Amino acid sequence: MFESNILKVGVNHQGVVSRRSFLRGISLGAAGLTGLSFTDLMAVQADELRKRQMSCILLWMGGGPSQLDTWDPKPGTDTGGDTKAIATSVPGIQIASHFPKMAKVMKDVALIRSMTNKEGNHQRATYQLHTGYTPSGTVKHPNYGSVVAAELGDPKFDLPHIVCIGRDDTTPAGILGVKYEAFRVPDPMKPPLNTELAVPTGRYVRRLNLMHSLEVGGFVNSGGVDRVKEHHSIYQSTASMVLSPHMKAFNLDSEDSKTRAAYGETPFGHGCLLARRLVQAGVTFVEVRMGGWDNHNKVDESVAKNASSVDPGFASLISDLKSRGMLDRTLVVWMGEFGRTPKINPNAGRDHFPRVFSIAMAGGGVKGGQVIGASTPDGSGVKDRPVSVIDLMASFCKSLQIDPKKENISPQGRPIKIVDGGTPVKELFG
Amino acid sequence: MATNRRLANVGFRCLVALLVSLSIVGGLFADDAAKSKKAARKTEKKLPEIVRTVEEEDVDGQMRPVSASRKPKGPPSLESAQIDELILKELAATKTPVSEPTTDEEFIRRLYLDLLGKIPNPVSIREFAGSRMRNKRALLIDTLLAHPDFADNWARYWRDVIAYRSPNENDRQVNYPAFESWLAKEFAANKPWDKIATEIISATGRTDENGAAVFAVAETASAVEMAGEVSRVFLGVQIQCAQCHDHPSDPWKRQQFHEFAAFFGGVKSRNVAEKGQPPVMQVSAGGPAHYTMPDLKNPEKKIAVAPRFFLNQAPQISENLKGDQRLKLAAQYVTDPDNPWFARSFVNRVWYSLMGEGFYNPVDDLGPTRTPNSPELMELVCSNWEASGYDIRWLFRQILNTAAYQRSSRSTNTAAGRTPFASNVPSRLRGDQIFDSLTHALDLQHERDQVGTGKAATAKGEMAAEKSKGPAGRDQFLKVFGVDPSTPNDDILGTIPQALYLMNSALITREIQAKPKSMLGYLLLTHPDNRSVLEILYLRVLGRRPTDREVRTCSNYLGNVGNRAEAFEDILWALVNSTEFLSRR
Repeated sequence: MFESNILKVGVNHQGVVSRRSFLRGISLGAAGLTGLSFTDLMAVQADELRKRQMSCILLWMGGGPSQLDTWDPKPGTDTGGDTKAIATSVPGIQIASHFPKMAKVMKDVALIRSMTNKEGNHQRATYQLHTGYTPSGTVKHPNYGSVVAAELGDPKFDLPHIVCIGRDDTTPAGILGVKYEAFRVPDPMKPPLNTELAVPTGRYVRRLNLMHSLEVGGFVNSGGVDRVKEHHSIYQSTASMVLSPHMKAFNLDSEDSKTRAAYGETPFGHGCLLARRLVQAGVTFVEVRMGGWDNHNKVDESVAKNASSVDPGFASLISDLKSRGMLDRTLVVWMGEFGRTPKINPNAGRDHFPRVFSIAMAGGGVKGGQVIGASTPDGSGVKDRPVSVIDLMASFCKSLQIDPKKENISPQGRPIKIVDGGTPVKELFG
Repeated sequence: MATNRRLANVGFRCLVALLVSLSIVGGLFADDAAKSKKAARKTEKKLPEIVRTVEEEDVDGQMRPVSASRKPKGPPSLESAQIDELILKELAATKTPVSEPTTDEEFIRRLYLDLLGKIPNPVSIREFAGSRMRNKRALLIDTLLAHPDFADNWARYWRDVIAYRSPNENDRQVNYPAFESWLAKEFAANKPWDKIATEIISATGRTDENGAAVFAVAETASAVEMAGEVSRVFLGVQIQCAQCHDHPSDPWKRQQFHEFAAFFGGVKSRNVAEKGQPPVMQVSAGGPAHYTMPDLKNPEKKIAVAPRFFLNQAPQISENLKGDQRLKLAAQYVTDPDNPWFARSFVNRVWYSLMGEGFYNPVDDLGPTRTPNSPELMELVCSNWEASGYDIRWLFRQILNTAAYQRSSRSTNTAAGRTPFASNVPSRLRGDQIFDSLTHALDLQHERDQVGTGKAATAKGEMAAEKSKGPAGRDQFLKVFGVDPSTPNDDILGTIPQALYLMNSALITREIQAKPKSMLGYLLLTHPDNRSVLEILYLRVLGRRPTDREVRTCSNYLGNVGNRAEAFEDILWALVNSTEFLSRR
């Protein structure tokens, strides 16, 4: 790495901690440990976190997937439409016939069929399912993934703690700031934007050194010392990242053809495979975004098409994580912003329906092979055991061993809990 | 556009011309004329339109003009020297040393960035630094304040103030370009800030016809969002925290927040575009208000709330007022001279942008429980600005002409840096400023005449420049470099994607190459002497000449690399990636 005399501010791998938020970040408990330097404290904390090594992969189904054509089929009813159900590896659990591979790994999957919410607008519901809060101009609530990254990310790790794969942007880190903004990979088949060096490594390092020595004698002496420190800290993190051997995690070419075929040669399949590689390399939170679930028209056909990439991608992710011994410490969540109406509309589609919908979870200590809650036979509501968005968020926290009551402070000094209330779904954890 | 750009390019040359022929700039120097115009506007202001309208209609006898108690106002008497006097008095009390005055090079770069949102070109810098005119700084200030880029730059600032807090997650609905160009026109015409605020707060109609209406769409036409943002943006008061509970640290009560929200109770927006076309939103103000707030104990129960402004013991307003009357009344309360927060909020934002340090920080969290820096000075500036009729250019001019603005920067690690207004404080540039500065530094429009060779711009470059205010891709660029302007400077630190962009992006890689037709290639071709190439590069990118130490470092580098083109590419890369390029100093 390039030589540095002035890179003494709190270095991390997402960007740099501002002086203010850095001070804010030191908890009372840590401040009480007098005699320990900042570096010692970071080391202590990092060791503790590494022991946990929890990670999370969110499979985001943008548009609002139909529960009735995925995890909660009702074959032979008006509500159920043409979708057929198939048996799974768990006696008594049936899912839509579009998901034969998922049926085989059902032992590792918990389905919640009694998710319930009130928000039927895409953007607002997407925000809510990503933050646990409804949008407001007052506070930009952090993406839950950013929270996880901030809580669990190893400060010494040289890749970003949160990565979002897919064409769409995810919900911002809000009050947690740029440091925990998701690092975007729009196309899993290509290296992330601008991470490929424009010149040979030697010349790149030479340029960094030149910039450094020019600034040490220049702007530093004319009022810019703080700015230069911060800037160089970010440059050091960025350089560490692009020069890191971990960067090869972004390259799917090194996977054998059998694995790639199992995940499926689709954007979603590639995304799932990349997610596994990133988690394996040490990334804390990966979101794989897929669209195409806003099926107001021809829901049956559309779900079948979506399932052809989701089924192999999701199922291979679970079995791959399991065979590598990573499943217990990797929570995998499949969800969208809401479900779809039990009534099939004149266009053979289903409309937005937050009142009852399904999500799927695997790994991260979640007990698989079970269905939690139920919708009514006509699919119009929750029959049994309603689960709210904040209950779900609290459950993620339990799986990832994060304190949901912990507060992050907004720029106005307002404390924002990681999850505002809610109760973890205890059935998930056996 | 061609005229505008020539103004920017010729820069200081214009100034000289100005002195010769004052008639070109018309009223700029005709102080007396301007003053009498302002005085005339003040007279008009005594009976605001809405009050007259409301009085005439006399909805149910409850109305009274909100400005009945208006103090008599004269033209502003504050001079920049008085501001300096007050600052020096305060600094003397704490024995804080003040920073040196800026050099001409530092001054012109800072002024260009603050007013036009981009760095000056080498020609302007050299001519300004070489000029012996005694009042050249004041003249440059007036020239740049009248420049169209001043309006564009500040329109972008305010666009971002709103966009970065917008709860509307559907970007396609919110026509920010329409808002930006509407606001730029207002600034270009030097519309007073209270008029601009009124137009934004009370805007109705189609967003493609009335850019001001974009604000309501950005707030999802929701009464609580509009109330919260109107208060935050125009008053700097964060009353919206009282939406769900009485404010924990400020005096605002939940009831007061909802009374203010009731002004916006009827606002609606709907998409009026043809099916399949991009959304065009139409904002309407609605009929009589029936605003309700949820009962805290029983969220299903709704409590009716009538509009009432939360400051100045304002009376309750009839619920029977029509929507557009309610909005105009809300705007009037917000902009009323008896409401000190309106002036404080704007003055503080401008002051913070120009000085790197504000009376209040963050700029959108003022209020009665906050203690400002230099309250006496702040009140003096605010009351005079109000007397000017909220004349935006007047405010800029008074601040920019102070010695305090024109002091050199210091780190906040020094005593002078820590004490407000003893020096200027560096901050990171906003996304638009970086984009426009890059365009200039790397000559992305191929304005070859800028490097001082006298060669005219190519016809192709001219055409491209006509079409847009920079190379395509501002939106894409801002996705990476954009930042909420209400964020405290200390918290704006750059990001990894920004660093990656400047290090490795195709654009930067291509444009720093020493190819025959590139800026650098042309420079190397026309200047065999390395020292003058280096000097021009430093002027282009950093707006100053290199120091001796920098010359030595670069000479050594040239020697070590042994390839002139390659070494200069690296030097240009280092300058574009430097903190200094990305900072206002």
